[in-house]
Order: sequence, then structure tokens, then C-alpha cells
Amino acid sequence: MSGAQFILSTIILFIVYKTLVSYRRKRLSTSFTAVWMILWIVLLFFIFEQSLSIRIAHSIGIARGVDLIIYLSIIFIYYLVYKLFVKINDIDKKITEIVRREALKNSKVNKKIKK
Amino acid sequence: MNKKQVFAVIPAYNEETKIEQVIRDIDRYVDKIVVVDDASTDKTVDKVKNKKAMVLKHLINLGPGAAIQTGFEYAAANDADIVITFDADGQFKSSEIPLLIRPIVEENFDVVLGSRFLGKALNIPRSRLFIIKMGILFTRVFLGVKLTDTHNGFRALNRRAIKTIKISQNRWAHPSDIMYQIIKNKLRYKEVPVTILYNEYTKRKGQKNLNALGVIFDLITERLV
Repeated sequence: MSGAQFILSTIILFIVYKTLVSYRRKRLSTSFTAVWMILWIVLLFFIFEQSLSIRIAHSIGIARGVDLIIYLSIIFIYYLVYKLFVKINDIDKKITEIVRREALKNSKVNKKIKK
Repeated sequence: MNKKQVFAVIPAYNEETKIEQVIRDIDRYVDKIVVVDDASTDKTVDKVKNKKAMVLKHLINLGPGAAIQTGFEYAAANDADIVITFDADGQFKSSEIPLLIRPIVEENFDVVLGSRFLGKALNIPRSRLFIIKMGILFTRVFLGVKLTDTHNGFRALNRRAIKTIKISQNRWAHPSDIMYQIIKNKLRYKEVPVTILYNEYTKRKGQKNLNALGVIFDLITERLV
């Protein structure tokens, strides 16, 4: 095991541990935890089986195995950011609607007081 | 013209020094004044004492676009025939309200947009002028609409327009959002000359020039989502 493999695998095992703790505290859903764990375990696998990532990369015209991992990670991150953005936008709209309804509801209360 | 119920919708955020005067000025031109307080931290709400005025309070600050939409919904629910959107900082001239109402009543327009470039923009800073001109170009390119002033808060809308338009841009992109919906819903619109006054107070309170980047970002991401 090289120094880099040791450091990276330690970080990944720590992330897996924290994920499991969050799952046990019911902060994460089963489906999210499963997907997240699979991602990290796959990454861990490729850290120790670099020859496989190199073979896959070559088969699709990418020079290095690590480049393949980086490209896939970037695509995944972009997708996550998009999903987060959609979610935040949705929450923003819901907050706006709640605040508006409250303002309009209280206008009816004011009308009664003025009369 | 007097048979139509005219409401003024005034989005307000921390305008305690100006709101009283603004309401006094517009009182004789409208039947009802709707001040939408966007969670001001000063005494804006306390300063609204006019009998014609109704205050709607947002619990949290959402932005001028959201405040105007709240005003629209109130006006629509309370039988308004015409709504004037009017800034709370004293930049607009209340005596020009009839100029915005007339095309709706006499020529059946749905929306009348005030234009400082057909009228007057007194003491407008050069940097602000540049940003506004860029906004006009942006609207021309992306909406295919030729307007002389795309970011003017002084406008009049009839009942059909306030029920059709649903402003989704809470903050400073709302004028572009309104324009987009006018085009999309085939509302009849017209520009009329108005006067916009710039002084130290309005320059301080108004949009910051850097907001323009945020506006572009908001408009692009709205389309993506």
C-alpha cells in the first residue's frame, strides 16, 4: 500500500463512518445512504485496483485512469449542484407563498379593526 | 375615468423618511393605497396613517418583485380596475399618474409603462444610465422587444393584467419578468413619458449597479429551472 493509497482510503473510511452515523440518527434516507456508500466504495476500489480504471479509460479513449475518475466526478458534481439548485428554488417559492398568504390574511384582520 | 377603481401598490422597505410624503402626494389620484411593507426594520409601517392606505406586511424580506405581486393579489381580490405601481422613495411624480391611466381607460391598453427616456431622468448618474441601457439591449436581444426603458417601476396595469401576470422574480429581475409575461400573455402595452428624480437619497436607496449581474444570473437560472 502506498502513502497516497493509505491517506485516501483513511479519508474515505472516515466519510463512510460519518455517513453510517448520520443514517443511524435518521438524518439520511436509506436510498441516499445506499447511493452515497456505493460511490465511496467504488472510489475505494479504484484506489486499490488502478489497473482496472486504466483499462476502462483506455477503452474509451482517455489517457489515464485518474482522468476518467475526475471526469465522472465532475459530471456527478454538476448534476448534484443542479438538483440542489432546483430544490432551493422550490423552497424559495414556497417561502414566498407562505409569507404572501400571511400578509394577505392579516389584511383582512386590519379591515375588521378599521371598520 | 373616475368610475374605475384605481389602486396604488407601493412596495416599501425602510422608507420611514419618505413614505408619508409619497402617500400624501398620490392620495388624490387613486382610490386606495396598498403599501406592501417588505419586513422593514425602521418605522415605515408606523408612518402610514392615511385612511385610504392599507398595509400588507411581509414577515421576512423577500424583495420588491415579491412585494408587488402581493399588492397585485390584494388589488385583484378587492375589485381594483387599475393598479399603479409606485416607488416609495419619492423618485416618481404623482401628477403623472393620470398619464399612465389614460391609455388604459381610453385606448384599451392592458399595461402602460413609464419611460424616463421618453420623459426625463433628472440627475441620473452615468453608471446607472449605462446599466439601464445594457438592460434595454438585453431585453431587445432576449425578448425581441423594443422598449425605451425596461427597468422603470412606474407602471399601470388593468385588471386583466394583474390577474394574468404572476411575478416569480422576487428581487431586482422582476421588471424583466413582468415584461416577459406581458409578451407571453399577449397583453397590449404602451410606453409613456415620465419623470424620474435622482438625488442623494434615491441613489443610496436604489439598486446597486452590481445588482445587474445578479439580475442576469436570476433570469438565466429561472429559464433553466
